[in-house]
Amino acid sequence: SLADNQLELFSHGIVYSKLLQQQWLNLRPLAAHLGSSENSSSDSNLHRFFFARSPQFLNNFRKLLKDHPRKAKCPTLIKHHTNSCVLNDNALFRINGPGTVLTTDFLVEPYRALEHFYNMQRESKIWWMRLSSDPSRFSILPCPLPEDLDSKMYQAIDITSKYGEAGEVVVEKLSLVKMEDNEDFILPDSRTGERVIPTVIRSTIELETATFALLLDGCDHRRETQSLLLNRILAPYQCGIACLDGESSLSEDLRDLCLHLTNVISQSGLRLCKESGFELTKESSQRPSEYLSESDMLGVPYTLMLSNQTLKNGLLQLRSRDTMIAETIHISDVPDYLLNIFRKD
Amino acid sequence: ASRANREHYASSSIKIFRKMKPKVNKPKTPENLETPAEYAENLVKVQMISRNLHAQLFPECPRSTSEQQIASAKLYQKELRRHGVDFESSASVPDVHLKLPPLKGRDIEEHFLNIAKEQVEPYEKLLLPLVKCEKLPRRPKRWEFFAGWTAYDPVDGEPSPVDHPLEKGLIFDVEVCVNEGPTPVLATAVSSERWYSWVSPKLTKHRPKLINMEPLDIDTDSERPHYRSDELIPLGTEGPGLVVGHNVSYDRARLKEQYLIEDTGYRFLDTMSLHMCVSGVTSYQRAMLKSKKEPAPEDLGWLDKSSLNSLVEVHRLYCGGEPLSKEPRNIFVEGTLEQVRQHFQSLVNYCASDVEATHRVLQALYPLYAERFPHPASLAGMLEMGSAYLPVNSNWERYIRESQLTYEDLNIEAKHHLGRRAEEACSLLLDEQYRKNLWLWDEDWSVQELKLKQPPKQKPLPTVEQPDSGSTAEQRRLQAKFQYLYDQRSLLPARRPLLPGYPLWYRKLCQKPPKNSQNDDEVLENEQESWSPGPTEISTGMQIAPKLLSLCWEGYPLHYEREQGWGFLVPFRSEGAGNERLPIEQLLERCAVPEYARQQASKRESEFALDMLSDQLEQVLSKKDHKKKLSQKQQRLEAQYQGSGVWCNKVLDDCCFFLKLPHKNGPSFRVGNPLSRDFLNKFSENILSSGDPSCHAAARVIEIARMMSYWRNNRDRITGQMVVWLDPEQLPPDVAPIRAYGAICPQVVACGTLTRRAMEPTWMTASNSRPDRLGSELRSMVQAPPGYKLVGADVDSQELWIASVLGDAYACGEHGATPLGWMTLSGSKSNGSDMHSITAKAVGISRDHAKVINYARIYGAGQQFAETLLRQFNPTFSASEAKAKAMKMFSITKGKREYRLREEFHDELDDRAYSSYEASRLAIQRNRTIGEVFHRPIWQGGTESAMFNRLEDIATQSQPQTPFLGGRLSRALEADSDPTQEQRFLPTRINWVVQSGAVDFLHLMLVSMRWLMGPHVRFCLSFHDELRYLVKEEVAYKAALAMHITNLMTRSYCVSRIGLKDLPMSVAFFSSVEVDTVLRKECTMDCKTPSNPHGLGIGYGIKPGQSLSIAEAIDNAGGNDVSKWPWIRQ
Repeated sequence: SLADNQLELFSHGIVYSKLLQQQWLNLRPLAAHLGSSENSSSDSNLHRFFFARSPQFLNNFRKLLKDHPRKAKCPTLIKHHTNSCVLNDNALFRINGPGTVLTTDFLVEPYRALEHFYNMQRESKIWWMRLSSDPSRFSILPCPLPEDLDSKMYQAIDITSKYGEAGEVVVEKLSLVKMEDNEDFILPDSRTGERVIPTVIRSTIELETATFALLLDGCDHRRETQSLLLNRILAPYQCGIACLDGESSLSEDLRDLCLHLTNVISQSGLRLCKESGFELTKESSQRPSEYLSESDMLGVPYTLMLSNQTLKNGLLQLRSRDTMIAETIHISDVPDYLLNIFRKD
Repeated sequence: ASRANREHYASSSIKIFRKMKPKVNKPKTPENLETPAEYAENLVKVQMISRNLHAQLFPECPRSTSEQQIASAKLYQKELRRHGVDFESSASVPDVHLKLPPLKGRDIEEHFLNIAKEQVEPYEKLLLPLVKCEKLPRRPKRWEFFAGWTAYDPVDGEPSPVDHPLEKGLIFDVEVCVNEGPTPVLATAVSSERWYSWVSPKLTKHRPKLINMEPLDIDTDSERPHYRSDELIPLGTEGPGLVVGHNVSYDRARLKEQYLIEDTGYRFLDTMSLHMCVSGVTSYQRAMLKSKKEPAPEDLGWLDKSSLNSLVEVHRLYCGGEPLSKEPRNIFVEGTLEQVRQHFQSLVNYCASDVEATHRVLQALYPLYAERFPHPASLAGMLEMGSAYLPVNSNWERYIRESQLTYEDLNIEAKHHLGRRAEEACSLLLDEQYRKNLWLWDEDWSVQELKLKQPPKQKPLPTVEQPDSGSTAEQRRLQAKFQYLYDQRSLLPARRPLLPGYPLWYRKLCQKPPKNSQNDDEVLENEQESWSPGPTEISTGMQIAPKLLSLCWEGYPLHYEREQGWGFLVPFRSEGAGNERLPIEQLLERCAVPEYARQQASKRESEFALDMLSDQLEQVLSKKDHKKKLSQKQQRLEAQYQGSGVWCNKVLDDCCFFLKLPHKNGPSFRVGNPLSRDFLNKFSENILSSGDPSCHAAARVIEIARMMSYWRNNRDRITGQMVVWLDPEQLPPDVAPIRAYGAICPQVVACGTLTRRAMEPTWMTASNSRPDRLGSELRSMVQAPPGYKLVGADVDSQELWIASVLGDAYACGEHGATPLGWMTLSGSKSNGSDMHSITAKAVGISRDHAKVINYARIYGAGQQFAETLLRQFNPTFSASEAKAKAMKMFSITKGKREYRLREEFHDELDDRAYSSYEASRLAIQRNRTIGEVFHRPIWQGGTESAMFNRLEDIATQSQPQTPFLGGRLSRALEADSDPTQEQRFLPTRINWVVQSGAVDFLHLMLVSMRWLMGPHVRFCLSFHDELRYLVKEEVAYKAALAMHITNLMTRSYCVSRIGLKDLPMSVAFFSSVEVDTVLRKECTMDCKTPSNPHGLGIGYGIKPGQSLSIAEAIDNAGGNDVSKWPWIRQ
């Protein structure tokens, strides 16, 4: 069972997690990005609102004022990430070794804090839903406050991802803290210019946990096939090339054509799957259906399928992992059509 | 002799009060021992109001009991026992001490007459001169094009600017340029002295001085309009004033001072409401009026006594003459401000001619109204109903935003699921697996090929330049080698087929990809931005959606037929003939044993049915007036089939039946979308579910569709509410500091239906907040400003009480002496002695279902309708089962019909009760109609027989009147012209007695509250049996107590009017009065909905309100001596 094992990401998983981090940066792009910060591992022992009194938080705030003066107004956003030893309380799995925590701090006008808090919840949830293959998996769970905390000053929710009976895992935590009177934290209100002590809404995502959560999401789909339904933007491999030939081996021309397309796609910036070559002939060890189901299991969203016919008229098949059928396109559509497909979620 | 003495009671065999009550549930505090005994009960052991209250409310009728009453009480008790009513063991409630202000008059009836007179007097003073004014002042020849109000001299038409009209009694009409938003562009008014016109600064382009305003804390969403009160028409703040108009609430919503927190004392008289009172129609009659067909002979009687509601039609009905011209109106509806400017004179003239027409209507109509509704409380109530006021704040905008966003989010989620299912379904194309799919077999699976054109014979193909041909020599070599393939691009068809290789049904769900173009056209950029691959166009409204979700009804796969709409497939052959398209083998595999699981319908359905009951009944009742017959054949086939599908005599491929899904409006309607609101609410998931166990998306999509439907159906009305935001200087000092204060004047038609119930499309039909209805927290977004409270209550089972007390009074002259009366007054849900539990037990259905059917019956629905409801709730009941249950229920409740001979036949026949079968046989033998031989039949032997007898008695009179205020039935339904029409519209008229009685009740409550609280309450809103006021915090508890007393006095008045001089304790006070800051059904409701997931408490920081019983209200209001309240003492 998953719960007993410590999980570790291998090469593809690491690629995936890097892509996920990039997506995180793309969300709320106006934030001041402070890069990597020093970790303060002691945090994890204290409750989730403690950060607001940590020296690290004060440091980040000063950095905002110094390095991003134009963004130093209310409301504003700060992003940073830390490497920390995550003591994971997620029921579903435990991560091996230190992880990366992605943090977004939203500094908002105190009188609109609740509204911002709810908007942020919704925005975050939708983000997860879009990355996933089953959006209904995600839900927002309010976290009960410790007795001694006032709900006017503190609020917290978790965004969880649920896997049927296997349980659920927290993918993002949102915590709201109303800052106390503190001369160190003052920002001008972007609308009125009034000086306000902002309320902080912090979002934290444990990158490795989130990666596992989304990879698991890709397998848990109850389809008959064993496809890995990764979001096409995040898929470590975006497309593959396969070449069908009824003969015992590929003709020179067809092999050249495959190489040519490999060049074209690699140059376009798309991530091409070259795992198992492209040769599907009588002599090669693979049969087309096996080849495709392996691609599906690797989560490759599209495969270009070439045949001898392609050498005559340039028509080839664009086979989709999700529909399992293929569309006919022309060689001159490559790579623009593919780039269009991967442009946007 | 006004006070009963103790000896008098002691002589009777029934104890009417005791010094100390033996009941344990009454707290025995020392205080109680000292006070004189207050407890009282009547002859059937119903607890009556405390002695001090009785003495104050019925001073002229001390309690007494005659020997004869005691004797009849024995009979009543016997009858109660026969119906399983255990009248000995009901719990009592604590007595109540109150010092009420003295009655204004000798008794409670005079009291209400006097206070209502007092309240309408200032308005009648303004109204009557207008009614009596034979000739209005002469209309000016030329209208001033000047912003604001202009007065015209009645003699020479000389214009002079004024702040607002000088007189307080006005006939008024506003015009709006629809394309420019809902604010007024011009208006005209006439008093008995002179004409006025008002022109918007928007029209004259006169800029009002710009007030430098702080930005409001409403996210200035540019999409949402933001209305300020200086765009509206001022009338001044010094009331009382009276404005007459046709559908005047529309005009009222455009008056500036109506949005202020303080009531200015202006009231609005709606000629459309007057028309509804005098000549209102049923929905059937409305359809007849609209229809262009030749009217049926039986409809000729009423057609000339009514009309549709528009000013043109109403004017034609009451005034005749030349029809009004409505043509200039088109400029307001379709035109621009510039066009209004161009036609200014003629448009103001048009507006003024509507004012004149309204005046002529008023002249003819008001005397009719005054004659038919003689009690001043009717007018007072109407004026009050027309002054509804809903305060809101920045949460209103937030609510709309959150609802809209949540809606979009859910929409995305549902679309995503459907899209995934569509993608997955594509793989059925491989090896034509779709032929075996129970849902998708009849979709269009054809695919298109991408083909190259023939190359030109002589010319070589043009070379397609490639942007970069690679960095290494090898790459460049390959590029050159395959250049010939790229060149063939010119052979591609000019219009590229979409997704060649994909089935047609799927292609219909996809967008065409943007063209790859080298030039950086901005439009193309946008197009590229918005395009994404896959079935992006899919939605739950599409025909493909239920199929993709593999939905089943009672286990059978859904299927769509163009003519019949959605239905399902039931196989009747055990093997296929081999030539069918339909996958019969798979169908048989799934549905080999057509066995129906017995599953009770869920609670949600009965709730929904109760919500829908009034609409549905209106339809059923009108239809009854106009009967239709079911074919015998259809009935027979329906009897064989045990489920709830509708037989439509359709066979597919000679191997299965196609049965329609049941539609809420009846079997002749087709279900257009099984994921729509009407459908989803009606049926629980265990009847409609996915047939594919791996498809957990189906349940979620159904759930989402259910959540979204409320917002989808209501958002236009909700977002279209005209909120006027006030400036801080327009607010009282304690309200001014909040970041935004706005108000809505809901456009209530004070009497909008035949039964004179008020109508309003958004607030009065607003759903209660429910966790699965997005946006249903609507009502709680009406929020009192700081320093104010919303005080109000629901009248507990108002209509049921009205109906039952009519029966009690008529049959026995004693509260609770009929079984229905007793159950209504003393029955309780907890020990199963209320009417719903008793019916449920007797028939063997759930209490919730019994409740719906009970109401339906009391509102006039027949046995047939009860049968339909029973089958709707329990789709597994067979027709005969449902029929038997409905029959049983009717004989227990309504009883049996009994015919009595007319006197002239006493010689030939026994004078005894005859059944309807006997009666019709005897009549036929004598070649007479049943009515010639027998009296009108009466109901006998059921718990509700007395009530029905009384209702029918009233309803069949030639001039039926409401029991409380003596208001007459609409002329369109009175049968006085033709006695043979007695039975026509009878169910509608029975329903009218109860509903219109409830409207009287409401009007009386409004009058009583105004009397008790004077100007200290502002009427907010009332829907049916619910009443809410906006009051200052410091008088909120007094207002709560006043509400309780209002209930006491109104009920006392009502029972007094029907001859009962006492009132049961159980109905004397509201079970609770809510003192709250927001409008919600119960003050503890958190109104969690998908758009308000955290509830009002956490999400909006709104605390629960208080719910006060009479005892708590007395405590909080500072004692039980109401006569000492400062404004009452004066």
